[in-house]
This record gives sequence, C-alpha cells and structure tokens, in this order.
Amino acid sequence: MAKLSFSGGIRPASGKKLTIGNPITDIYPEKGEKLYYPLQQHIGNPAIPVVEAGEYVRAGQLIAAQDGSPSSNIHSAVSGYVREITQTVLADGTTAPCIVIENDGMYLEILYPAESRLDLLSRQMIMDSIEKAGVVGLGGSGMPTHFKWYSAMNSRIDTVIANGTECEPYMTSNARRIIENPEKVLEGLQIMLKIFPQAKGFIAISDDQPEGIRILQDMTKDNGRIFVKCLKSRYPVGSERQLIYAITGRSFNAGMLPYEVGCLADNIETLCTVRQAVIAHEPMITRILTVTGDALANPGNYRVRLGMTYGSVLEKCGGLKNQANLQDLTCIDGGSMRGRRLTHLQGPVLKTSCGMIFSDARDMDSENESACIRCGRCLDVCPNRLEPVLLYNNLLAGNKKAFIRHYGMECCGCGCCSYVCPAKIPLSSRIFRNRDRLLDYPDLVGNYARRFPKR
Amino acid sequence: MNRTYQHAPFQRAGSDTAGIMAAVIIALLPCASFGVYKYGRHAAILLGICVAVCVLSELLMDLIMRRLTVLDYSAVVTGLTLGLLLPPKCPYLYAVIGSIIAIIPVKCLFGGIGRNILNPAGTAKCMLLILFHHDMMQFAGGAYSDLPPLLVLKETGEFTGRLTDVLLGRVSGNIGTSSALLILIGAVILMLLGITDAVIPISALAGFIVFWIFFGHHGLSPYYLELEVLSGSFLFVIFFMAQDYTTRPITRKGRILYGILIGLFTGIIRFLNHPENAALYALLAANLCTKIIDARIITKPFGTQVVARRQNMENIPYHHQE
Repeated sequence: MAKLSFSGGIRPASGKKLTIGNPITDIYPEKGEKLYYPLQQHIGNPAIPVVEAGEYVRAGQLIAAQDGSPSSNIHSAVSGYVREITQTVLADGTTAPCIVIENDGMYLEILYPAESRLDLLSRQMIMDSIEKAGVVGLGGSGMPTHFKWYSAMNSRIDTVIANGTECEPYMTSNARRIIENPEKVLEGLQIMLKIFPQAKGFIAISDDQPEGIRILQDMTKDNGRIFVKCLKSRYPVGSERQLIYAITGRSFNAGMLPYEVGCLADNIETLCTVRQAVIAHEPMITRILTVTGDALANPGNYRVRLGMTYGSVLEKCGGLKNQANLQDLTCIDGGSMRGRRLTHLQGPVLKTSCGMIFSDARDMDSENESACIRCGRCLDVCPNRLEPVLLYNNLLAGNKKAFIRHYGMECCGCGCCSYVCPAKIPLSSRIFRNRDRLLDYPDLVGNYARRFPKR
Repeated sequence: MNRTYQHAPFQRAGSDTAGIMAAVIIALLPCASFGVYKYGRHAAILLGICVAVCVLSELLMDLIMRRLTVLDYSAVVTGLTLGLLLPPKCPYLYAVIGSIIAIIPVKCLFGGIGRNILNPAGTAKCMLLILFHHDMMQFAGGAYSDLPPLLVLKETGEFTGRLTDVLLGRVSGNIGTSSALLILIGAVILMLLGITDAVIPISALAGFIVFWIFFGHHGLSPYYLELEVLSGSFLFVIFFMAQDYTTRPITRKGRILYGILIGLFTGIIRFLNHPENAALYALLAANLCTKIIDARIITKPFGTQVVARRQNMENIPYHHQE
C-alpha cells in the first residue's frame, strides 16, 4: 500500500542549509515604488481590470476580477494610485498587460470583517471566501484553488493531502511555515477537510525536516482525522502523482486528475493562504519567497508583497555581498531543478513565484552537451518510468506520432533525466517543451489536451 | 553549487562520459596487467598499438568531421578491449588493421559514439578472424600448452586440466580473456562504480547453462559446465563487451532478453563446433537484435492502469454545493 516513496527520482544537493534556519521576515515596498500586477498569474482566463488609471486603491482591494472559470481575482497589496494598465516585461522575458500601482507608503487597508470561526462557516461560505480572495495553487501550478476544489466535489474524496515536502532544492518556505506557523497549516487542512467531510487528512513532510516532523506530530497526536506522513526525501516526491502514490499507493497517469482516484493535494502554503482567506478574510496579497544563494548578503525567507519587482526584493533583503556585479552571477527564478534563468530583475513577483537563487557559480566553460551514449540512466531515474532517450530521438526526428505512442505526454518536466545524463543533454526541458507544443494538436493527443489547459 | 548550466536543472550529477570511460579502463586494468605479465613485451606493445591506433583513427575522423569527440576516452576503451581479445603472438600489423576497422567503419561511419550497431572491438576481432584466420588462432606462447581448453576439448574430446588453472588464467588463450578471476574482479569494480548492473551477465549465464545442459555433450556434469563457462572468452564477453551501453538494449526487460540471447547463441555456436570464438560471434548476433528489442520492449509508464470509474472530462460541473 503506502510505500512512502516511489520508483526513480534523484537526490540532488538540497542547498537548504543556507536558509532553513532563517525565520520568515517581512519586507515592504517603499514609498513611490511601482508595483506591477499582471492580469494572468494563474491557469485559466486572464482577470479583467475593475480599476482605471488615476483611481485610488487601498491595500487588499480588488483590482481585477476573475473572468469566467477557471480564473482568479487579483488584489492590490498596497494603497496608492493606479498609474496605468500597460504591457510590462515579466521575469521570464514575455510581456503581458499589467496594472501598475504607485505605492503611497501609507498601507491604508480596506475594511476587513472580523475573523470568523471555522465551526460557524458553511461549505458555501468557505468556497466563496476562497474564490473572493483569489487563492491559487502556490506549489507552482497556479490553478485557482476554488476551481480545483469544486471540480473535486463530484468525486468521493477520501484522502486530502497537505504537501509540505518541498522537494525543490534551495527552497525552504514550506519548511519554515511548518516550524513557525504549524497551527495555520493545520487550520488550512481542517478547512479542506470541512469541504470534503468523508476524507482523512495527511500532512506530507520529507524525512530531512526533523524539527518540522516533531512539531507536527506533537500537534496531531490526538487528532483522529489528520495524520503526519514522513516521506523519503527524494526529488520529485512533491510532484502530485508521486506524492499521492507515496502516501496512498494509488497511481494514475498524466491524463487523469487526482480526484479520479479519490485524492486531493495542495501545497501547505496554499492552505495557509486559504486559512487567511477564510478565517481572516484576507485576499492573497503576500507570498513567501526563499531568496538564497552564495552571492547574497542575507539569504533567507521573506514575505514580500505581490507586485514588487525582483530587483526591489533583492535590494530590500540586503542585496548582494561584496558589491558583486549581477552580470557575473547566475540568477535563477525558482529552485535549481525547475527554475528559469533571470536575465533581468524588473519582473514582478507573481502569485506563482517561489524564490530566487543568486549564485556565483560559473557556467560550464564549453557548451558541454555531447553525444548520447545510451547509458540508460535517464530511464532509471524517471519517476514516471518513461524512456527519455527514446522520446528525445523521436523529437529530434520530428516524429510526433512516435513521441505520443511512447508516452511522451506523460512527462511531468521534473528534470531528473537532465540531471543524471552524463552527456549533459537537456533532455527534460526539450521533451517537456515538445510535449507542450503537442498540446496544440488535440486530434493527436486526445485526452491530454483537455486535461492540460494552455496558460 | 560551483558549476551551473544554461538550462534547468541548474545542478547536475557529477559523472560525465569521460568519467564513465575512465571507470571502464580501470576495470579492465587487472586483465591487462595479467596479460602483460603472462606474455611479456609483445603483449604490452600490442595493447599499446591498439590503444594508440584507435585514438589516432578517432582523431582523424574528428578532424574530417570537424568536431572533437576523442576526448571522451571511448577510443581508449575500444583499443584496450580489442587488444585484450588478440592472441598473444598476433603480428603488429593485424593489430593496426583491427584498430582502424574498429573505429572508422564500425563506429564513426555509423554516426559516432552512441550510434553504432555492432560492438567495435568485437567486430574488429571478427574481421581479423575472417581475414587472417590461421594467425589469429595461434595461441602458443608463454609457458602454457599450445591450445586453450576449449580447443583441447574439441581436438581430443576431453580436457583433463584443473579448473583452478582455468579460473586463474594459467591456460593459454587471448591476452586478457583467460583469467576468469580477474574478469570477475573487474566486473565487480564496474558494478561498485555504478557503471553497470548484473542483469546481462546473469541472463547470459542462465541462457547458456540451460542450453548447454540439454545440448552440451556432457549433460549435467559440473566440471564440464564450469569449464565451458570459464573458457572461450565467455566471461569477458558477458561482463564487459555485452555491457557496452551503445549496443545493448536500453530497458531492463530488453537487457534480460539480450543476455539470454547471448547465452543461447553462444551455446548454439559452440554446439556447431566453433568453441573458441563462439561468445564473440554470439555477441555480434545479439547486437543485431538490439534495435528490434528496443523497438518492441517499451517500459510501461507509471499509472497507466485502466481506472474503472473515469470522470468525463468535458462535463466538469461548476456549481455550488452545501
């Protein structure tokens, strides 16, 4: 049954020592600073602005309303005047329409109602709060949480999982949450359990977080409905399919959704945000980022306001050490396995951002990719038991049908195959990109096109 | 992290192709050293010629194709393997010809490393056997009997030597393939370094032993079974040459089948009375089956079982529930 692990996977250097001991610190944008709110920070339809240039908004006020379903509300994190709604360059280099708000430094908030008590709330009230607050999946997916939970309501959900494993190297925000706010994590899970009354709740934590395990086990020892599951620390144990398999023993393929096997998993950061939305009626306006790397003066976990640029975050948390030059550094948006290179720091912090790494690691001197020797290590580590080398040959040959026949659409883009390849071929990014491209051919891929909506 | 890369993931595992090849060279050193010890200067020069000519041939192809692949040490591995397969008094010229054949037509003209269908060293030895059969079957040299055990068995119908001699390599044979013990030590080194696993050798042993019990001339006799396994380069082929990444199937199930085929083909060819090089021919025959094994045996991905109750994706309702 539950094996607490899965086949394949890798154990990269975790890099968490840099920030695991640093408590979550708040940083604020300064007066006059511009904050940028892209209209799409989630999976689904972009939100529609409900404010215009010149309007004054308060912190927590709705600035863009969800458009249909799935979609998500966007709120301002500061008070100030809306300067314009314009195309802005995001962190990954694309441009998107953003609402630009100039911070007036006063942080005037909207009027928040009093805190609610969970036992007095009905399911509908809970779902409405989540929808209003614009909560999305904060483990990196960006799926609007209310949509995800509504979709699951028609199935018999008997297992609800709070994912605290944080398998991505260098990221420690989940780990710090567990140490500092375990009661919020539990409340978030209890909210989820109220929506799915037939379910048992599991908090998934990996076995390299001994302090977190101890805290959670203490808090749940008398709880008959919530259990702590300590999973073997292996990347990517936090990936949805591997997580559910490790906890429940149920497996499903990429064409299916977790609720089809009676499970629902959410990141604990999402659940903390849900708790804030439901109990404190707070919209989603802040996010914890792990800003780390050996080139930083103060690596740590910072609660930032959504909309601040990455450059502003870097500056406010102490900047680089020794006056290093950004051009000489490797700047990564996200963790070291699934992150992206940052070419500039003017992009805003989105709901789906999870952290930044600033490292003075040098790029490999030569472009190091060499010929595939068919060693087969990529097969050994693929958590989905695919054959990356075969898929790579199919995509090099441009053979779409063979790629699909060899289960290329099952790829989850974890990066394990690229990690282990001795020829340093970037297998994972190329296969995953090809798979994304194939979603444009619904007649070839069938079910997968419905399952994976384009961002 | 002290090194990083252009694309995610920005950390990678430490090993690279050159490192893997270096590990294989280390694993082959026990056999090579023993071969030089047994047969002296001539063998050492043969090994040196094979390695040098292989490297130079690959360098030549690199210059022609304007790339640099010779730095991954795979030519050194091919040269060393070919050298170990040569008979102890092999003329130097044949070593040169064999090395050129191993690299230029068998490896580079197929597309270079990772693209060849046949094992380079094995094919080169096979070509030499075809072209210069008489000289390649001369095993006299050193203090041992003129013929290796299997050829004695073929000529006289019986073999009376001690198995320990065969195990330790105190019999005549090719330069590096007669000491079963050192081959096993090298194989263990390879497995401990994480380069290969034991799937292919064990399948090959199983395939061969089962076949030989039924069709071998001595039935279940343990003495003769062990003799057949320990001689005729069988162990060298299954523990080193059959483990060559490029020419073996990529899936585990495929490798089991491949190993069994090698064992089976070795049995068949020995049954047809070509005992000394049977393992080599069997390897090449199995190499030719690799492509179809890979095309047919595909691993089943995680979670592809049929789920009895499937939601219809298009009708995901969006309605409120109390």
